[in-house]
Amino acid sequence: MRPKLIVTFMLIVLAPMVLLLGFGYRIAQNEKKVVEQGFLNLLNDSLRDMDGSIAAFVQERERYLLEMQVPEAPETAALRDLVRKDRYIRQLFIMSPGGDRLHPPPGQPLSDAEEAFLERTDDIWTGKHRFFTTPDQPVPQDTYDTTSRSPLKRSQIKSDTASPNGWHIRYWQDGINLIFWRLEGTGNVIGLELDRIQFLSDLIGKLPDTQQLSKRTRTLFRLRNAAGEVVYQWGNYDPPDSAPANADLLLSPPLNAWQLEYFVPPQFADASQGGGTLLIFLAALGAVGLGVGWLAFYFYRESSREMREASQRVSFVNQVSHELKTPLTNIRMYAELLEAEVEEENTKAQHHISVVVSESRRLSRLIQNVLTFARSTEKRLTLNSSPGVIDEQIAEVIEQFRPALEEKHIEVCLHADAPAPVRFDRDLCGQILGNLIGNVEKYASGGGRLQINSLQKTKDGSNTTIIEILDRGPGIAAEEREKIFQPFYRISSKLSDGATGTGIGLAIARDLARRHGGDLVLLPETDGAAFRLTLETPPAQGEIT
Amino acid sequence: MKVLVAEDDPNIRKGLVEILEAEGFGTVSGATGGEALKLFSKEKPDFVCLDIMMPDVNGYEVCKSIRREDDQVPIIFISAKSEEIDKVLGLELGADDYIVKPFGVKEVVARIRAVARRCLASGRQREATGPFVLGDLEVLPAELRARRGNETFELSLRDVKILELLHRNSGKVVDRDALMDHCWGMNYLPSSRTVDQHISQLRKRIERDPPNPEIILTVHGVGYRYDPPGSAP
Repeated sequence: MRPKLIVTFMLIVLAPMVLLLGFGYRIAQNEKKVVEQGFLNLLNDSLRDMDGSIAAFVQERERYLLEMQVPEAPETAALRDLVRKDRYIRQLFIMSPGGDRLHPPPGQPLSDAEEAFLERTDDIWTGKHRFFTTPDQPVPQDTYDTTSRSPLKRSQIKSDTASPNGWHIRYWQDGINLIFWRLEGTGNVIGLELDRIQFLSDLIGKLPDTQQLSKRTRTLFRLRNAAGEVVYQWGNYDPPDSAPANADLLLSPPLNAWQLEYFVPPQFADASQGGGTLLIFLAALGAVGLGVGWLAFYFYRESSREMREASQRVSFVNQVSHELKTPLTNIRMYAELLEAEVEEENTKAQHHISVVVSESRRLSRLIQNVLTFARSTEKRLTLNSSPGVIDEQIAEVIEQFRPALEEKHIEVCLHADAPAPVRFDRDLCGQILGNLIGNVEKYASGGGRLQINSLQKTKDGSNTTIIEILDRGPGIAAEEREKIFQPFYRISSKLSDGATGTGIGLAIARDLARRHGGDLVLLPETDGAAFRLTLETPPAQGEIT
Repeated sequence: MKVLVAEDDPNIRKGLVEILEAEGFGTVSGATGGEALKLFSKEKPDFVCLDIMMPDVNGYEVCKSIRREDDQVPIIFISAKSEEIDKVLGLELGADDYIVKPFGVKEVVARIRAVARRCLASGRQREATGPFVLGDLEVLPAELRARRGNETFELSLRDVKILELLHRNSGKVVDRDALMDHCWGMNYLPSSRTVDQHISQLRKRIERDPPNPEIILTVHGVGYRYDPPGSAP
């Protein structure tokens, strides 16, 4: 294959593949992102579920605190008793509508815990934080309406709705400080500080137990507080220390400074990312590549068929030169050597040899004729008819082949019925017969028999001679019946391997027959091959020489 | 003189060898281009006969290779390729002649003798000796010819060797063995009959009256002799 064709071929095959590869890669990348996003959504959903559970717990606590019976402010003892008994409450305060402290009682000795409490809530007492006690005060940021979960606006407060309440959140040294406040009918604000430890413990109690998770789902939830410390974690996967969470979520208020983290093992994360698609894609690419490659190769073959046929023609001519002229050279050379060796006195032998020599010269001329014909389509063999008897011609040709036929043990049966003198081209006829008998000798010698029949017919004023040549060889398969008349075609079978020849014998024979106004056909025959040669042979009256 | 024959068809090759040896040349032969090149290097022939369509290396390539080694040695192409262009190509590559198959023996002999003359004339041959005279026949070895007056006779190399041998042994008998050794060479084992036949053929060509030879006289049972004129029979 020429380099240019190879390059073109490669381009035809590679270009679409490269394009496909490019597209495929982009698609794969997109899909990867989609899958990643889906995976992330899955994780986030899990986190939101978990957050929902936590929020539910917080709401439950809110209800409890909202419904809690709190003694009136002056009843200090009862209030202290309440603090002591209720495990959820750490401390409480009561604030007057004017913002004054009613409990812990001012001007009275306070316990250490109460002192500490006041310290923790000093922002309330120093006026830094107010619970909408005066209209002109801006509402602090960390005050929430528990129903709407949004910062309270003064305009939202209505005296006839359910009592306003909310969370006041501060971060103290030991962690989050949750104070639930509610506005009483009296106008007092009650603030209930949750016992954090109890709160956390109750919260954790509500979260799933590690043991509850099955071995299959290897995951880890982690709850971190505002300081980044792990409050609690549950799951059966142990991520490396520095590993970032696969997903995280800030909790809903009031714990919105806390976050939930979700961990999954790496292979679980990766496996969800579309490895399967890549495989399918590569397979598709391979199939397309093969398909395009085959197509390109097929078109190349078709387009180069003409070139191949042309070069076949040229090499055929060279091959014919060699094939035909080699035996001819030998015949002539050895005949002439023989001529020199036989004594001149042996006139009979000398005559025989001279026949051989002259025939070989004649054959040379014919061959040259054929080769010229093969080389150019314009030049045509002219019909060179002369009067003669077909049967005699047949006999001559048989005689020429006798040695070869005898050597291959082929019995010749001649049924000659063409004795009328007619005009025909002896060389042409001889050549056709020579080709056909030669084929029998080459390919059908196993059958041991060559049958030749001749007859003449007159039909509608035209004289036709029919010569049939039959053998008992392997015959010709149905699919080859027409192909054998094509130039260069040779039935490739073990029998013919090793026989010299160029595959043009029958092509030429048929062509010559048609020039002679007739045809050459293969008869349907089951036992060997049977050829029928028809020649147009006008009668030659009284011209026999 | 030694000739290299390169031809893949065994019959043609043997036929050519026979023709050449009948002429008196020694031969070496090969069936492929590759063999031909090896033989050329090994045997250093005096001229080369090349077929063109050979397996492995073709005749053109062999010719080119030979020409690279030796631009003087005569090369004859003998080929079935008969187109004008083939002949031109052959001659362009440096061949001295181009014989087309199928050829007649006489044609080949004439061409080969022409080439051999050129070899002898170029002074490359040990065998080339100066002209000599046998009776009224002037023998010109370098030209492979003999002359009597206006008549010219073509001679083969062997013919020349035979006449040379007789001339060198003027007046003495040259027996058949000597003739065989000198004129047929060691690779060729002729029978006595071959020698006799050849002498007979030679006489037919150069003797004025072949049945009564004057130059090549028979010595029955022994061999042949040349008697210079004036010497006692």
